[in-house]
Amino acid sequence: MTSGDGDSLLTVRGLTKHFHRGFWPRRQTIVAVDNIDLRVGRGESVGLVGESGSGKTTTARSILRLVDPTSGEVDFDGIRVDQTPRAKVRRLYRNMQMVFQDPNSSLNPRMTVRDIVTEPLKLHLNMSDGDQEQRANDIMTMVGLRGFHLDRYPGQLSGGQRQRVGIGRAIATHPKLVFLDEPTSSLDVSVRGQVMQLLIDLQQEMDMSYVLISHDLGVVRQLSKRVMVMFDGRIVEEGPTEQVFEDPRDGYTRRLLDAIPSMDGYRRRRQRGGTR
Amino acid sequence: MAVLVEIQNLEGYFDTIGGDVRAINSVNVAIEEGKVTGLVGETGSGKTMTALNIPRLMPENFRYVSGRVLFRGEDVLSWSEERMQLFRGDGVGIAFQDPKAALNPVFTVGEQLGRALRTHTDATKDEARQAALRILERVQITDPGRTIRQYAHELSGGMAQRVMVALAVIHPPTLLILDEPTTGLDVTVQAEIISMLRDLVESMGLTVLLITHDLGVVGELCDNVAVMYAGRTMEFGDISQVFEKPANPYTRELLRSTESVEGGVGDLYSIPGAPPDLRNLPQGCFFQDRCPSVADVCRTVPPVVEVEPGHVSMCHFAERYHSMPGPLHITRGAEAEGGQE
Repeated sequence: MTSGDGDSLLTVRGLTKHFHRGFWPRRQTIVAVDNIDLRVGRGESVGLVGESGSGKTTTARSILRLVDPTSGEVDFDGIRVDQTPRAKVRRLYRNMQMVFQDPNSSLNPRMTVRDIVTEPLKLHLNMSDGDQEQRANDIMTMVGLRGFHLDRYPGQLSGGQRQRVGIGRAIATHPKLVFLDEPTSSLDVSVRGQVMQLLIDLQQEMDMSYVLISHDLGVVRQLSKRVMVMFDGRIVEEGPTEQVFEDPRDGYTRRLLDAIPSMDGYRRRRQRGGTR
Repeated sequence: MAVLVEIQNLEGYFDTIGGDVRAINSVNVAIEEGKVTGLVGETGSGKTMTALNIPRLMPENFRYVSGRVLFRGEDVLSWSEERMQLFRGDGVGIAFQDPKAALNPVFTVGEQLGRALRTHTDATKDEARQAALRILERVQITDPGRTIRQYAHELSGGMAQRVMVALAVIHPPTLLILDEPTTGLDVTVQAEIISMLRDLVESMGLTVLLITHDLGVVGELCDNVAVMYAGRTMEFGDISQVFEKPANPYTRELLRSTESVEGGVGDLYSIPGAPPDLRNLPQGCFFQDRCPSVADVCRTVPPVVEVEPGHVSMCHFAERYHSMPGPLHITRGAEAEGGQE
């Protein structure tokens, strides 16, 4: 896999994850991720698209060791993540973070925004209280919130503001790689664009790499130059986003693109004649 | 075309402990017979609340301020509860949002379909069963004989949506309300549901009010569209009028940002700011804080301006917006093509 821009930050080879369902003698094995190779360059944003059940989220969770992969190698910045002892896995999260799909369930409702964004600083950076406060204020500015928001609880914020807090928590320790799991799908379209712009700006400012997991192809198009299409646990197509979207090679990718409802659908209907 | 339902100057609020929540502030919509009318807007814009006024299923703490909901010229709001009971399911049927939650978990699909039919007709159990099988086939369920015996939790998201629609049309209502019929479904399943709905509407000649936040779904299914913002219909008209010649800045900005965010077309664009708080709405136009061409006059309530027959906009500058080139790349490209013909 070549992609001109410098060295790799994340290299994944043969990643596989099986889940089991039921009990003997009817125990079934479900292959959620099937022998995936993936590479993310420094400062690169890679899109991972596919429908629910295609294995995109399990891929991210296996790389992050939120679940243990069945087999495969995961090399992150010179560290073999797959061989890291369980007790040391947490240390990886200083440089590898995740923004979750639903900010309503991924933020602790009993913690203030200050507690939420400073928790990673306490866990990973051993910062003094004064430094933490300073950094918390910086994070608020970076994600487009204000100082007074630090004293609020997630329930007092709008959906867009909550997702900004989720992003603030993820970038607090200045990670090298952030997994974005459907970061805008719970937001209304007018707010969605604002959060997408924030993600683009942050990536440039902080020189981070993204793995963007999404079923929303428009979002991928705006945020990622390279895209991988997943179906049934495998990567069925991969390439520069524009090329894959303009000229899909794989039948599934084409089906996925054709399925997107179009604002000018009425034109086709009316051209065909009849009233609709 | 005859107008089936006309909502005129509807206004009302929710009486809550935290104060009045002004959910509906001037709604004007005309639903034409045999057509699909879209009600589009963001979360909290009042789409569902507008639609629920037709079968009068408003929550108890809703208070009317003004307005009429005319069904074939008669004001539904003045009808007795007995008359409403007959009207619901017969005059108007609803396929609710989130079908897995809306379906009854303790009855099979067949039992629910049978009950829906037998409430309004004197069909026998066997006739109801036959009708249930037929309607499941019409919503393109592959094995109706199997589905009829299943419970809601056994259905996939797409199947549950088909069953929800079947329930609403087994006794075809004069008006069918579809509330977010494709939300939460995968894009390929969504495409199947859209195509099924299109076939169903055409073959049964249904009149539909479709609630959605997705302009793509509007484009695929609707003939007319009402754009809602903070409980107001900002613009209403034929879909080509509204999408190609929007006469309201909110519609314009919404179309432009949707094309860039969801279509991935052009540079990323979004509307600055956020919708207003329904407890504390500004004087005059509700879009003033986010509007690119706000002026002093926007502090006063905008008039409803008819910019062309059937196309209305609630804006002081409706005429000016209407004369601007359309905001969408997709339709602009087509316009250029059309011009060469």
